[in-house]
Amino acid sequence: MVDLDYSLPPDIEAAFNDYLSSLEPAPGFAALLEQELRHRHTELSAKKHFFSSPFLQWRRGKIVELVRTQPLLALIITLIILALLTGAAYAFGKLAGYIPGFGFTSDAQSVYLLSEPVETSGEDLILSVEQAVSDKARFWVKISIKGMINQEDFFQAFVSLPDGEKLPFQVGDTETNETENTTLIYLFPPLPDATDQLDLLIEGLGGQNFLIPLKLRPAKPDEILPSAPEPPTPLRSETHNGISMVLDHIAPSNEGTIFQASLQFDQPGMFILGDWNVSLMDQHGLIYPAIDISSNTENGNTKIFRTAPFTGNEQLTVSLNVFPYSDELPVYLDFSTDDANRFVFDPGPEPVLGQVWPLDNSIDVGGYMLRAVSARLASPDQLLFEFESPSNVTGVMLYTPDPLLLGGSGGVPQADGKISAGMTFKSIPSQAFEVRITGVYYTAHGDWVIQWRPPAAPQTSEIPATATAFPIQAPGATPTLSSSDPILLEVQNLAQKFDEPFQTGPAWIYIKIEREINPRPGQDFPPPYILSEEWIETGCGRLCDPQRAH
Amino acid sequence: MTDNERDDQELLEKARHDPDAFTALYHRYLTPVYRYVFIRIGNRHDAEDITSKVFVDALEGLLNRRYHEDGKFASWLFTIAKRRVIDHYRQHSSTKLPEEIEWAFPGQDPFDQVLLSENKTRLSELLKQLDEEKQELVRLRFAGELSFGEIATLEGKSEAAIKMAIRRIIQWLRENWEVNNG
Repeated sequence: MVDLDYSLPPDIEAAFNDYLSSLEPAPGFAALLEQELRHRHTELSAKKHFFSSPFLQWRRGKIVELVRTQPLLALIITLIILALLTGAAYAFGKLAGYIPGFGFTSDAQSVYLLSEPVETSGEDLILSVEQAVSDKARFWVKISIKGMINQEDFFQAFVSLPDGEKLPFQVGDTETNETENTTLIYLFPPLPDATDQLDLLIEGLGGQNFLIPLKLRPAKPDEILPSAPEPPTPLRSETHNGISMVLDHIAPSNEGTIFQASLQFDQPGMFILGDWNVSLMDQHGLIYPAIDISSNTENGNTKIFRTAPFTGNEQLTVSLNVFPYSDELPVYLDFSTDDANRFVFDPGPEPVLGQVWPLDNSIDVGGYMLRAVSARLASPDQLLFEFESPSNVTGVMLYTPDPLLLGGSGGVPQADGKISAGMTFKSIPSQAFEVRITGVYYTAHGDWVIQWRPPAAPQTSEIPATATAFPIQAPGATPTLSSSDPILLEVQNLAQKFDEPFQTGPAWIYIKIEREINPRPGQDFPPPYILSEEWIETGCGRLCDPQRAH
Repeated sequence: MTDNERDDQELLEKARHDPDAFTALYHRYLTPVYRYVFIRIGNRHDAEDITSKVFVDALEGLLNRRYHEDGKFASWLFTIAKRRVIDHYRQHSSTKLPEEIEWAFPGQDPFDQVLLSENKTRLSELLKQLDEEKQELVRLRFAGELSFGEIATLEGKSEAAIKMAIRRIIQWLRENWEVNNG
């Protein structure tokens, strides 16, 4: 405990040690706190990042107390917070499509709005364009329809620009309200800058085609902008074992497309154990980078990625990756607040080490049918319970309110397909006690993929140089990447020598670095999220066109 | 960085995603934190309550990234513990600092118990003569089992200054122990 130079005389040390040894935390307290911490860990990991902001750490009780005891102060604080939030939101609104730590916004300075409502009619149908908004991220339009009797699925919408270009919609949604008005919402790719007039074409609606001319005007500096509709039907993978992957937000820009992917669960208390990521591959088999740029406060079920800018012609497959097996997602299903999943076990008055008690208790835990088949006194203070379970269940967590409990441990699947879980006691209870299943570990199997046609990057400016792979982009005149990395310098040098006889201009080297972390048998290799790609432009040497070099 | 700090660091990196890793840290620090809190509070019930809060705070801080990897986890944990103890005294302003802690010697030989009991009483008398700052160093070093570096980080002083202070305390204890014995 103490360094030699700082040792206490033996008598003092003995007194100290005896004193300290009497200050051990009670085993029951230690076990309960451990359970509480485990539960809280699982809970906190799943909370949305919103709730982790320091402001919201304020307990509800404190707020209520403040309102009750000092209402004027509470009012002033509320007004200040509102003012700050409004100001911050406005300031953020002036910025680009994605702000780290904040989210997705629009650039108010380049927003165009419908200058006036437009109405047109056909046979039995009246279409009113209620709102149209064009910003750097997208163009969206909201149309109200009267007289539509049948819900139709297969009609098309296009935007026709003054130069004749025709843009198909990316996402559309239809909803019918109680007054039998139907609302259509269409999201299109972003329009060219300063587009102030266009035609909206809707084909096949009620067996008719509609052409609706729209006029747009720039948003005024302090105008409150209509909020953009979320994509009405977010792109979603199939649900496997209660889990699906969803593409929540997309923000294209010249510097890269930002998108948010989430894992969604079909019941509360489900948590992913371990890290996950996505990979992007287009119809030609080209892999695109998906760099995780989630802020620290993001919860583990939602991630934000940056990838390359797109032309709008790519058809991507977004695949969920979990290390090390991409189609096996480890999941924990928490039932700690539900004491219905239980059975009673009686070890009898004098249990013997190694004694086995045959059991036959079937428990339906969140749809997973478990059967306790035996209990065994594995050591003087530990009972091991064996369960028969569905094949994808890998473990259970046990708990008992008996005060003699010290701790519980989830087991591992056994060779015979059963699972085991232990409970450690200060001493084995001499009476019957309740065994609760507070959690189930299982492996979700599936192929979580989303087919995604990403929006094109705005064409308003030249695409800047990027050190990230951009497989379909024709290389532009980017400056030579300077690097002090000896490996990269060697690669550059070798490429220069190799290419020189044939070189008529600058050349690019594509470097792909694959890293492996604790590879295991049977894993998918390489896991795309530890794969980095880089384009490096070599010098063009004496054959390079001097005009182009400048 | 000491071996313990390196171990802590590895566990901390995992603990953000893995409850088992945090549980390992909990097992490592439960007894030192509990002892430290108990000595400052003086009763088991409040010591358990405060210890729970310390670990819940630490877990929340860790998951919400309030703990930075470049710090010393033990120092950070004991900073929380100190704050929680201070909060306790603020909330219970009538509570007095514990002067006597109930001594317990389960399972000792009766003769040894008497001897050790005398030694503990003598130790207690000596420790009470130290000023609060020195008593805190004793608590952190012997009950909290913190290294000199961790105490230095916690107290905002240099490691050399902490070593010097603790050496003087030990020297003082040695001299006065022998005087009292004599």
